[in-house]
Amino acid sequence: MKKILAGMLSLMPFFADAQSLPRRSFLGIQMENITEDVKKLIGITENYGVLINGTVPGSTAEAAGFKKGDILLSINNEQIRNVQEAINIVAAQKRETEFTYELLRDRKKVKGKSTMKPYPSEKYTGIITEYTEVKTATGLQRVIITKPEGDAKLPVVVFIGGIGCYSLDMPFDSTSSEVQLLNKIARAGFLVARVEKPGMGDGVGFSKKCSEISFMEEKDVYVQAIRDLKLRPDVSTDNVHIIGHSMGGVMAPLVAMETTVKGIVAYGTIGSNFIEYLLKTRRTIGEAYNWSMDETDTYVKDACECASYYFINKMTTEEAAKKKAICGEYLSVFDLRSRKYNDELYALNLPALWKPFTGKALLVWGRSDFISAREDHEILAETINKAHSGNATLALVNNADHGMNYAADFSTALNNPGKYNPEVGETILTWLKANS
Amino acid sequence: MRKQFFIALLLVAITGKAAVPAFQTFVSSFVVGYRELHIPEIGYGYRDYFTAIPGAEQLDRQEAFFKKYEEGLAAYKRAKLSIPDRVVYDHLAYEVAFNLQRIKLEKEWVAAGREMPQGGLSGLNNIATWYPLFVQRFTTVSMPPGDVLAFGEQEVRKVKSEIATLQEQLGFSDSATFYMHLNSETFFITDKEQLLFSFEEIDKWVRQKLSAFIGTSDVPLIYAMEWPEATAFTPPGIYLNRADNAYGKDVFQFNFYNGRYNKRAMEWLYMHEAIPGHHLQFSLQHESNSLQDLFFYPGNFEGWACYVEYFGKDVGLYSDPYMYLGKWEWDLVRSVRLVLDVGIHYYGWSREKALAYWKKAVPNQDDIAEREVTRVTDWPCQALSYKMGAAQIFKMQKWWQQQHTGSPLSDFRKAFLAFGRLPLPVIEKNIS
Repeated sequence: MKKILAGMLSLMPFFADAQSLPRRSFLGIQMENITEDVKKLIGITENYGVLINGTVPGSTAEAAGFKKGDILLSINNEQIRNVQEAINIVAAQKRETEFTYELLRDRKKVKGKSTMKPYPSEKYTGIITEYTEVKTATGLQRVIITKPEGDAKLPVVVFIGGIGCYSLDMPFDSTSSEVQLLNKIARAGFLVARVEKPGMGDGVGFSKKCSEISFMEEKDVYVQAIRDLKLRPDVSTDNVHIIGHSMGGVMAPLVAMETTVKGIVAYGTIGSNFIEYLLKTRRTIGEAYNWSMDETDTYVKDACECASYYFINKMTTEEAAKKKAICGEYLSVFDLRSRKYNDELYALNLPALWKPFTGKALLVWGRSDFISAREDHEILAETINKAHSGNATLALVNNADHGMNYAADFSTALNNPGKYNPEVGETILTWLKANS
Repeated sequence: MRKQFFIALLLVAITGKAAVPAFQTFVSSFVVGYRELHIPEIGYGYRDYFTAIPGAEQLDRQEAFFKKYEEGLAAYKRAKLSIPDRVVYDHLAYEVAFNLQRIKLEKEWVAAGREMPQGGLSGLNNIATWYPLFVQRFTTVSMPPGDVLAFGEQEVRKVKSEIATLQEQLGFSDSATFYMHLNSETFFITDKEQLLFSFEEIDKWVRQKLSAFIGTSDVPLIYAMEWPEATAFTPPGIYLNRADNAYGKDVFQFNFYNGRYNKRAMEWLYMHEAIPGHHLQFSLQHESNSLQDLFFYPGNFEGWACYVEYFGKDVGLYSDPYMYLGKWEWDLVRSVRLVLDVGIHYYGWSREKALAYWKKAVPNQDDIAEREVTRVTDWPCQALSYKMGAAQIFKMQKWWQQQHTGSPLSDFRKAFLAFGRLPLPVIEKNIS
């Protein structure tokens, strides 16, 4: 095997290029849906297209000459009906390839051709960003690494995001909580890895969408990503930590069962069975909305009934809605992930997942987080400490919401949250330094 | 060239100082230097503001820059400048003084460890100096906290008295029945076409009376449209100049959340967002200079839009007492915000106390209490810009009337708008 590799060295640049995951295509427009009011205002009759509000400097759209006020009607003859469709169509377009487009400019149709540019890279002072990948059964996924320059072996932090199908690739949002938190950790001397969810960001080769994969399939991605990271020469293999945000905190102990990690930070996570979690947090949601106790009680009761239909009786959202109409609204959030994902999640005994974990754990709850429950963090800390005395630390951060943003209370967190609360980063980094 | 160099040398020899550059050159160098400092733009959220405060080294650079221009300004005699240059001089002096005070406080805050205040500004060391800085930042007016409270309470009393008078005129002796009536479905428009048509009608009436109001009726078309994806937390309306939207037209958007719009909020909203409010001010805007382009002052443009709302009857509106009532209903919200602002940020009111004050002061609007207290808490002094700005314009108007007996108010308004969106004290000093 070594001989074969040696013989291929001269081809390595090509080989590496062929294997490496390219950046996705980047159209670079701000856009809005065309409502009936907008149609009337600008005097068009077309029933499709999106209105361009602006173009991003250096983007494909700018190079193609798209202008504010243009209506993007189609790409490669595929009609665009709304913003989401535009995003999907651009995502399907390979970078560095030619594409055709049709615009409506000053009520006249304009056709053209351009070449799709790649998505920009994140660049920060004091740290470098690398775009690596992990190959898994579900496809080729992006792993974004930020670290100090140099070849030194570094302690590692792997970030696992929440339940939603979203990307952690954020070149245009350096103020996001995730970027602020992870850059702070990288600048403190850690190699930080953001593992994308299947099918999100630059990922390719997926037979299923992110919304279709199961909980365990997603978990496998994180396991494989950590195994790959441990092969890097700049990684201190016995010094790997996971930060699990929200549902990422449920993934973390499962991942740790398959690949050793030194510690886990779980922020705004779940620590009791899923229905109990749902009911506890329906109360805090009621507080955030400032509902009266009797309104909240009805909400909790209805949520209890709906959750039973879905998770215990295994009904679909539509079937549950036939039993009780409001279930259609309450359960629709679960349809953002697959049936199997939700069933596998519900089957877990969360304290039991943490019991065998022998590493250190930091359970962090923001006091304005109405989406997760303080009690769940206490349950997990107690579970771990009973099994392995002193291994778990519970930290409560003032004025922090579920997204790690400033919010004085539940109501502010719902209505008008601020930006990233650096106290979250301070709490986590202090603990990581002590445990690395 | 040689000659100029010689003269410059001679001047140095005689005065011991370099020659004073032409005033315009001095201002241009300020604009270039200011841009290079990358001072964050004014924002509403105080947490973002404190987070963006740079480190001590950068603040020292800012301080040296403004001190240099403070000294530089002293080399010019204001009275010897042309009239337009005097306005620029006052504007520059305003910014220099404001920024030196800002930097002083920011340096103290950074040196003390950058502790983020929670639940408003009241926890800041030296709040007695910080609060007036925030007041000035948003209103451009200097007013001690005690006076902000007194003004707010006085306005609440005045507006409630106006509402009580209207209640009586409308034949409601008891408030419970009155507010039950105001909540009835008859006041809510659910047909958007009807709402758009009504806004068009209002536009026609206002334009007919505009010449007497402002001395011109030549204001570009303005279009009403639904605010896309508005929620219960979206404000009642917003003005979008054609430069700020993709429609190629000047528009104002109204909040049609849940397919409902309160009829009583049609006329004052049109006046505020469209004509003679924001749209008229932006349309009549005289050419801005590079110094003006660096800054924006909510006390000026929100003050103007709030000021015009009091003149609905002069532009053919408020003939329906319920429309006039709608103006006062929203004025009450704005007045209560004044009290809440100084209460929360200066006097350290708890959220509970702020909510209790709202519920006592604002009948019939419990549903927005949480939203309003959150807004005032998170955006210190932003809510002052409307009423304090308007009060300052009324003060100027009163002075103008005393000085120009018999001159129509439209002359004052034209003169005011001709300055562009400057700090109100700068306009006040120069409007004569």
